Amino acid sequence: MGILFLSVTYLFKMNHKNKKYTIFIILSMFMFWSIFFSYGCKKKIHIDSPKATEGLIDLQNWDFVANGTVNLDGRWEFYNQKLLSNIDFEQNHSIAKTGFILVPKKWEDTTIQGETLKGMGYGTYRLKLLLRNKIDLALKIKTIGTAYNLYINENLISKEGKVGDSSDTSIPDWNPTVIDLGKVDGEISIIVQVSNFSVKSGGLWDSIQIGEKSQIILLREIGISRDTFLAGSLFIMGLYHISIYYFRRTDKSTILFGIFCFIMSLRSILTGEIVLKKIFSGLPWIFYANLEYFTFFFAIPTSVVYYESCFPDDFNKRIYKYFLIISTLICLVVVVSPIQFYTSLLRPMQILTMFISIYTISVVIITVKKKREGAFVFLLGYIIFMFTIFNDFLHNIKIINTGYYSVLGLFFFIFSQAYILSKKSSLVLTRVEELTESLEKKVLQRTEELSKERDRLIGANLQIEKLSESRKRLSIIGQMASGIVHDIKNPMSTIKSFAELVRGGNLSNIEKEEYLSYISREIDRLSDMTYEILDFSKGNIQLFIQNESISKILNEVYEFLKIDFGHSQISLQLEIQEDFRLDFDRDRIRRVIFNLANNAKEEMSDGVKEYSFKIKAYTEDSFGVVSFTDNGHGVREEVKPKIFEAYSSEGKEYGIGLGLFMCKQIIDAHNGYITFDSKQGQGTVFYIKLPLSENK
Amino acid sequence: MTEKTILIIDDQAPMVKILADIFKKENYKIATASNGLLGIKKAIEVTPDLIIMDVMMPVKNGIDAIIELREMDQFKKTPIIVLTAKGGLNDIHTAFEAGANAFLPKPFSPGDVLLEVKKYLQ
Repeated sequence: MGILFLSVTYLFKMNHKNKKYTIFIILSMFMFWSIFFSYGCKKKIHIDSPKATEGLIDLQNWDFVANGTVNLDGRWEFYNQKLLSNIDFEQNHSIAKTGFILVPKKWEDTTIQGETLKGMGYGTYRLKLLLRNKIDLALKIKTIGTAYNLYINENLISKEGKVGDSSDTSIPDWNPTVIDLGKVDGEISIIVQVSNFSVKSGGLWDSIQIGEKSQIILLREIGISRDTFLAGSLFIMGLYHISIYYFRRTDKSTILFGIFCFIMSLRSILTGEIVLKKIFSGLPWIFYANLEYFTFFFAIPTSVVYYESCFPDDFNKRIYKYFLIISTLICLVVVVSPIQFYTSLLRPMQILTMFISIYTISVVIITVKKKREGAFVFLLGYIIFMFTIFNDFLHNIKIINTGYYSVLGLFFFIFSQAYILSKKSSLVLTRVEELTESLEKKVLQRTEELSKERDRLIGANLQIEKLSESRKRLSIIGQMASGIVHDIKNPMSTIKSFAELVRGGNLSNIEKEEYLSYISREIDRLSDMTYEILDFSKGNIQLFIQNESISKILNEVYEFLKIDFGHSQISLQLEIQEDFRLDFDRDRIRRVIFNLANNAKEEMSDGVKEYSFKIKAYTEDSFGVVSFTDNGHGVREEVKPKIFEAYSSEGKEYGIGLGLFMCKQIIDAHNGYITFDSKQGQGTVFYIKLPLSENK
Repeated sequence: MTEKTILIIDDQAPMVKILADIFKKENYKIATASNGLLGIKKAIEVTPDLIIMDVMMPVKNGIDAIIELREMDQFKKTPIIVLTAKGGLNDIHTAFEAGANAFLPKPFSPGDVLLEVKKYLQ
């Protein structure tokens, strides 16, 4: 036992070095329970315990207190088709026994003196005991198939069901019990009348144990508590796994395992000491007998489905199907047929179970090689379970004398399954935790990326805005193309004509001077226009600052304007009320003045009244002001708010139309102000205010 | 030979100045106006023998002015030469549709204008 657990510990250590502590606790628990379960099995059964031979067992030299209980196994006298009592034996010594029969064993396929017994029938067992002791003895009877009367000498001291010679007179029942023998000494006979018409095969199929009374009672109590403990553990395990499935339905192996646990839980109170019978004593035999067989039969397809669900990739689908179909068919037959018939299916089901076990072990070995999750623990639990079953079998047929361990094996197997399933669930949980963590990280990372992307987009958007602003400007320029062409061609045409006239000769020097000045002025106009377009398309203005007095530039402009205004019959006036110096871009400020003047001129070229235009310069605080006053039609109210917007050119049919927009840009670039004051029908005054130069 | 009168309708003062100077040298009488509206008024006032008309002008453009002039009996046959920086086929077409006799795209040389004018005033 110890060696087994040491090796298990070692194997566990190999696999899970970091979990030594947990494993240690689990194994300590197992050691404790294994001692509990095996108590009274191994220790108390001595290798030299006597056997019944030819209907007699000699226990005179057996020390029950020191060596424990004895199973009354061996060869009993058997009287087939006879129900005999002690009186019969004493009155009629010539009663011929059928022969000697092996106990424990079922009748079916048993041959005595050439006569083969039937599974259903009746008969009498007799065993003589030779005893020599002064202690209270007791018998422990498990189940006998399927009704019996037990006599010690002439006294009937135990019976279950009703023994009869036909199915009508026989009533089956079983109920493990302890029989107090008291202080018995010398030779006693145990006579057991047995009948069976209820299951496939009856007889003394379990050992009858004899021992010191307190030991026997203790065995019974341990048996009951062991069965109850097992049932309770399995029930809780079943509940636990079914709950797991209830909350997480992706893994069907949990519910299958839960069902398997329930079945085994039920089975553990239907076999062994049959605790269920103690709890519900009024239940008919047929009920719990059926239930007991069902738990065996139904456990098989359930376990097949469960195994498959554990290793779906490795379990051969066809073999799985065969196993499942055959075992399910057997179960269906069990459900619909009477117990007398279906108990004959026990053997085929056991054979099928053997095949299933062998195949499952081979599959599990493959999965261990493939290093599948939980395969090793599965294999370990399964092999231990099979090993204990095999051990019990060998022990049962007295080849070895080790004790019964299959209950412990089952418990170990169930626990290994629970271990795998809980590991699976916790792995899932761990994965979820990891995923959550990585998800959180990813979210953080993505958020960061997104915010970077957003910043980038904002940047890009700004660029696009700039671009589209510049595209808009270019597009406006495109729309103005014809106007621009016109505005360029006009001065070019003028220049060409004047140049030809000058070249043509016949001109006085004054005339030549005059024409050349026209050419110069037209070139200025062209240059102004190109700058205006350039400034507009670039969207910003780079000033070339010069320091100059306002009177100089105004006088210059005035000379040119005189011609234009004269042609349009508008009176022009320039008043330098106060001269001042400015740090300004000379060409651009000149453009502003020309623009304002041209606007006024066009506004006033309908000849409907005497028009006038006055340019006036003065200072105001730290600003130099130039005002442009006309007596034209004035700015319409709806135009006022957008008068400085690009291409809002009011009433202008041609021309660049950037006029006031560019004027404002230029004045803004000088940190100045351009404002206006207009009354419809009376005229308009534009003011440009520029900061006065500090170097006066 | 009686002096012929030429009316120059253009908003660009230098252009008017140069045309005027060219025609004066050839002894034509000159009248000027700075837009279509004023030009019609001037035409009614001086009844010119020929009109030089710019197209793009404030208040009233040259095409509208020609259409109006052509509706008046006294100007039905007055030669009108359109002078414009707009030199596209459409512009030429529009000008002839309106009633122009000739079309001279800017920039032009003084000789070309004079040649064209003389064609109509011989």
